[in-house]
Amino acid sequence: MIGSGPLSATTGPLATPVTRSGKGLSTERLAYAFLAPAAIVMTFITLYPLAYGIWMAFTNFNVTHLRHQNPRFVGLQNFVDILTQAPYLDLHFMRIFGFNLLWTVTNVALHVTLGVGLALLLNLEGLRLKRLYRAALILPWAVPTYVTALTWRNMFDPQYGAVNLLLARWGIHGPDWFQHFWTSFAAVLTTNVWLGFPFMMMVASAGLVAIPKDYYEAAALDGASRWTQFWTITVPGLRPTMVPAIMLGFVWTFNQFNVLYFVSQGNPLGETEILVTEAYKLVDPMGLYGVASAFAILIFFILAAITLVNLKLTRVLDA
Amino acid sequence: MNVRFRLGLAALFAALAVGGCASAEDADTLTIWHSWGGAELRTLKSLIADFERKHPGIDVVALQIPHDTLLDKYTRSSAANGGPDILIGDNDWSGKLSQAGLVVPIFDEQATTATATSSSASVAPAADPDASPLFPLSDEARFAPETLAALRVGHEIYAWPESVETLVLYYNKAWVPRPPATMTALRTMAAGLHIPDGYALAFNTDFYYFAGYFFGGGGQIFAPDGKLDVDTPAGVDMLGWLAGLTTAPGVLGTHDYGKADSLYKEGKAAMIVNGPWALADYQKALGPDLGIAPLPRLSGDRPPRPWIGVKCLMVNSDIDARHLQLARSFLAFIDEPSTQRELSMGCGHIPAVLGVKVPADSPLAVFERQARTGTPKSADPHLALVWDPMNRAIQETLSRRYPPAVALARTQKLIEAELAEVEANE
Repeated sequence: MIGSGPLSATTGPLATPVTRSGKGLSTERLAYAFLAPAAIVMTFITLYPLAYGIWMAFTNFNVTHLRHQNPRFVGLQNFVDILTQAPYLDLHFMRIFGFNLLWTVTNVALHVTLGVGLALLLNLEGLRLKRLYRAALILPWAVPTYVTALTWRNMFDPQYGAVNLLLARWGIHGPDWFQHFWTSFAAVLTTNVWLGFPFMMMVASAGLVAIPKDYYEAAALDGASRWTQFWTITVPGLRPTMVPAIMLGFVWTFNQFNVLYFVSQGNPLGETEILVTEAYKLVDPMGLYGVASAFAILIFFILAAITLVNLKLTRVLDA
Repeated sequence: MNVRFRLGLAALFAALAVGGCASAEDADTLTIWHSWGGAELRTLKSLIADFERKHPGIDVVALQIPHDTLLDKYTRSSAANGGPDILIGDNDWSGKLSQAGLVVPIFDEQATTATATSSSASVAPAADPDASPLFPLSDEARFAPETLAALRVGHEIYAWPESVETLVLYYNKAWVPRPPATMTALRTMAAGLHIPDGYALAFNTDFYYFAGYFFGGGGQIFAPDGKLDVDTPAGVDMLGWLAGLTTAPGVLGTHDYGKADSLYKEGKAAMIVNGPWALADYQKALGPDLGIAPLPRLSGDRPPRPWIGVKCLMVNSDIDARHLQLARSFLAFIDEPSTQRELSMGCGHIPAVLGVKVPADSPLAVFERQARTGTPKSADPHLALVWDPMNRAIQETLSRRYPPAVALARTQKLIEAELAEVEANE
């Protein structure tokens, strides 16, 4: 807060004391005035829908309540229905959650490995056409996810897709990708790795620039191998920039709707559904807005728990 | 803050506010949301120009929205007291929208209205959208009973029929000189046709396309007494029949509409089952090689009974009396004989109005003939719960996860549970 924070206390005896009267108050008001537009917008577009969603989760809100909103309060029933697999929901929460975790962990691991690997290559001394390579590698990120997802969906077409046509050239009979779990998983994983590595590559590139070259020179003088330098200088040096990016990537991937909805479409038989795609289905076609809201709250708590554990582990490692 | 800057900012806000009010409250602007493209869009634009000529001072604004997001967008906008005056969509949308109170009843089923007295394009007096239907009950006589059956939700109708649609067999005369009359003949033909990198038949396995044979073979969704009854011996047989068809030589079974459609247009599939919405595109792609025939019959001379859908116009329940008048005028205009003929010739729509006939030699006549054995696709909102489970049963059968009997039994149980839950909350 302007005028009342530590800054005013450290400005020394010559500084004019800032009080809650006179100029100080007017500065404070000005600060609030500047904040107000953003605060009002955030209240309406973020806080209100959030509160509304939480309220819906405890009601039987469905399509009949859209115009005349008079749903019945049902307490925790929606949460119980989801967790106990009520027959009308046709979903197995723990199985979907398990796949969601597998999907997220494998994706983030590949995004980070590929992203850091490519960043290291682009950081090599004397590499020519660096800008060109960087621009080419960032392209998947620049293309809208929806377009990428549909392109990859067509590429995995069993009869006419580019992937199977390429395999056929090598004498391999390509599978019907979305008919079996592991092939379907491989297809969506490939698509999302393609989409996700450029972000990690850019973050890692920025992190690498921040590591002083002197460290490597000193290590080389001490006889450290490149491998040792990587684990003792590069990895710790990258950690401050990569950890927030990994956590962000984890949340994004956990809720990656487009790829699974458009590429595998949950096939085979809903085995590649994740929690958000399942929540969407509760709204369309079933119109179960209350249950879908409860689903969203569960997803929020899961992600909050994972993030907290992640933060704690990171602090332990840093210590 | 600079005084001039402040004044400028105030003027900008005032202009925005006035502009916003002017557009929101423009009494003579009729807004329509639709998903028509290609020939349909061209025809709609021409019709709107006609309507504006006939009704000077009324401005029609038509917004095109992709079909797969249109219903959702309308539902959300209308529930938030927004959305267009008229929505052009499918008849089964009206069930869901009426359940949510987002569209007005079209016909006065109680015959109590004193406001609407004519079916002509004249503007009706002011009416309360929650209470007064748009047209008198006598106007129902202008439409075929099966068209009205497809629109009825309980005792009410919430959609104004524009055209009727059903499925037929499109074939490529370059590969198939004469269309097969039966499915047995089709399979024999498919086994003998060798199309490089292609198929004799690209069959869409989505329940919408398979339903004609499912019903034709004796399968059903609801029993005559209204009870859910998908798990029947005839239904199980037809699911097995579909599994046999999709593994037959020369037949591609696919859940992907775009893929089947592209194969046919590119000449890589000799036959496809599709609706009138594809006619203009197929005429353009195949030219004189395009052939249209009724769906091949099942063994025992059983006719397929494909869905009869209705393209229709629905009116937002949250518009004022003036816009309700405008909407009513447009609905009446759409079903005038000259408009129906233009829609028929311009984009291959089969007129919903009984008095307007398509020429006997027109491709649309085949759709009309096929519709006579069709199954009205009910607007009952409960039907919306059937699509996903039925498609799941089809996938479980085709992927050999479960035999047809088990797949249908599971489907029956799931839909029963969903219906019970939805009804408990209604």
